[in-house]
Amino acid sequence: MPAMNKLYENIIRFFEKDFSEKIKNEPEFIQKIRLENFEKFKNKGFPTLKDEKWRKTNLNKFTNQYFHPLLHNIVKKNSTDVCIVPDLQTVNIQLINGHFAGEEKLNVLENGIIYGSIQSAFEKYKDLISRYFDKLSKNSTNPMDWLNAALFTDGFFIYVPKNVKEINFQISQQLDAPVDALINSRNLIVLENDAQINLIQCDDSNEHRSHFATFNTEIFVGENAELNWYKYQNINNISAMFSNTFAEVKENGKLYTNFYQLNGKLLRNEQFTEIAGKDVAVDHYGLYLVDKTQQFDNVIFVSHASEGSYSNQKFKGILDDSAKGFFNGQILVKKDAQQTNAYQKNDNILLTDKAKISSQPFLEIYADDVSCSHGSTTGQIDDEALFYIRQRGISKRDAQLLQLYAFAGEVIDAVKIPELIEPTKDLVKKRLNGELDVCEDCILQCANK
Amino acid sequence: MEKNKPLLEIKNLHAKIGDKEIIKGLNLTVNPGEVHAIMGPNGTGKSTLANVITGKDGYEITDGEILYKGKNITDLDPEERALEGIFLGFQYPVEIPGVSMTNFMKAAVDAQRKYKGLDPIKPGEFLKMYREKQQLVNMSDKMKNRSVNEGFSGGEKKKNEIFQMAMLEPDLAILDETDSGLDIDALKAVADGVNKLRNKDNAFIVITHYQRLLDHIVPDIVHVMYDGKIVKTGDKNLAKELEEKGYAWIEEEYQKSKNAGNE
Repeated sequence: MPAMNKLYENIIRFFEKDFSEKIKNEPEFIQKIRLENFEKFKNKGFPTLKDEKWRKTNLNKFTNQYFHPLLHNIVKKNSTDVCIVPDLQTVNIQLINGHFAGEEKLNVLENGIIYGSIQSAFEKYKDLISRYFDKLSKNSTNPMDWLNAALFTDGFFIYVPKNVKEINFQISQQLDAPVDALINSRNLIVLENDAQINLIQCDDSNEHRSHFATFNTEIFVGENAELNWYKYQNINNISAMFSNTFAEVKENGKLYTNFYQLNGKLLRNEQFTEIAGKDVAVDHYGLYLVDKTQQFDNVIFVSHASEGSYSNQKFKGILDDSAKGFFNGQILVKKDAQQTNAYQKNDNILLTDKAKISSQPFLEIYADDVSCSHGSTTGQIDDEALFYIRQRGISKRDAQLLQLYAFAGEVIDAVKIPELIEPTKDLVKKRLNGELDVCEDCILQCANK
Repeated sequence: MEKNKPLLEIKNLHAKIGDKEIIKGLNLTVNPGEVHAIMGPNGTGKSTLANVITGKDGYEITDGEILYKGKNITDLDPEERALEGIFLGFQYPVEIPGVSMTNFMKAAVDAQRKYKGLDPIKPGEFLKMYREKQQLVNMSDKMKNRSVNEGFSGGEKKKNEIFQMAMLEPDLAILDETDSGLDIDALKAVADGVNKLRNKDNAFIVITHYQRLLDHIVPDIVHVMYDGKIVKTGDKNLAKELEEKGYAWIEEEYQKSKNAGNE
């Protein structure tokens, strides 16, 4: 029996009454995916504290609330020029309430890149999409994924043809509903062999409305292809966002993510990465800066199915006030994945007695010739170092900031795009200083103001 | 000769950690231009005295006062005391991973400038000053990009303390066992740095076990600390006497006078 609550009942009613009508024009394979996932969700309901990976994450505050399911994009913005990193040439994608907001729903660039609304792409690029869509997420056991697959309304689609390289995308995702809203968006990124792109994403919201958002992304990195993804999340403190990513990386491919969880009532990022070829390199970096009653979660699973690959998970967190954090990281090395190098590290600083982190590092190895390590640390600000710094005339606050910023440095220093380094540093400093507010545009832009 | 106003005056200081009294009625006056050495066996409160003067958390002053430039500083934060010109050369300099030496020193210099109502130092000016002071203690230029004290050898750490002192030009510098763990070259470099910085307006308190450092930094006044008090004061010859005879006779003398006092 699923756990009954307002949001669950509301979703079931909505899907059965209104939504199933609306999706009748969609391609059959999409409808099938929706229905299957809906059934799963209907049977199970939202995750509860009894579920292994949700023992520290209480959804009650949200599931007892009413959220209006947004079928269409209500707010229109004219500009797609929002997520500006100065001096960086980019293709800009704007998602408002999970809907692609560009004038042209589908765009084809000279180099053959296709990008736009995934809903529009279902019709125009049906064959292409059906080869990839839901291939990685279909076995998920996470109810949030079922909810997303059943109810997504739109999202972005990026297709990068063979050999197309060095393209930067800026993705500005804004939660800007005029009512408390349920938002589900679904994205697909396909990189053919030898392709290379960078994604710079910011997740922002308006100040006053509570949003319950799922944001699922499937990523296919072809042979010798490379995807670098930077994400800055800064939504209001009455909203929840679940960003789940499924990635497959083929031979010689590279996947790199560097995510910053800055603000939001509940932010949960789940990453599932399948290494499906030899000599793959995967890096997952994350920094979570949590305070007040916020909770930020990271659930990372990297599966090595093929030999000679490298993966690295590095997540760092600073938790203040009564904030909570949850880290669950797993490395799976399958039998044939010899000569694997896989690392995982989660480090935390708790600034108060009330702040809590639950850190669960896992390592599961079935091959015998591998080099793996994992570990987790939780500590406080070092009092000796604090006194040492203050003795040089630096205020207690600045001494603390200096140490916290240094702690975060390992993640920030991993930023590879030169134009992004200063804005990232600025954002982290502002956040640590308590100066980062809700930003109706992209936070990268707001922080520069 | 007219005496200057004292830089530091400690009167009947009592301090404890938890329930344990460590400083038990200590008196000390330091005038500008003087170098004081405080010697004594382990566990007699020398480092505690340094920590109490500089305002480290965890110590409770139960009696007495610490006057610095005529003002009682016992209620000031460590950074306020530092900005007023008190510097502590740490016995165990702390490693601060991720904070580069230059960033650290820039923050410290700017904090000091802000306190004096000045704008932050210009990068060029800062680097020039940085280079000059490095040369003063014969410190390698490659240290400046490294994290504070991280991976420094014992000698490098101590030199780094003197370097920071040179950068911040304090009025009162307390060097807590800066000589411990140093080879003779590092010891000379440290002493050399101190001697170059000595002038008629500043003062040093050199805490040490051994006479060794005092061959190179010649003190004006030598104190012996025992059981939380200064039990003997003399000139530089006292240090030599201690080197020859050890501390046992101090202990005996102290116990005798204590017993006499009790009778």
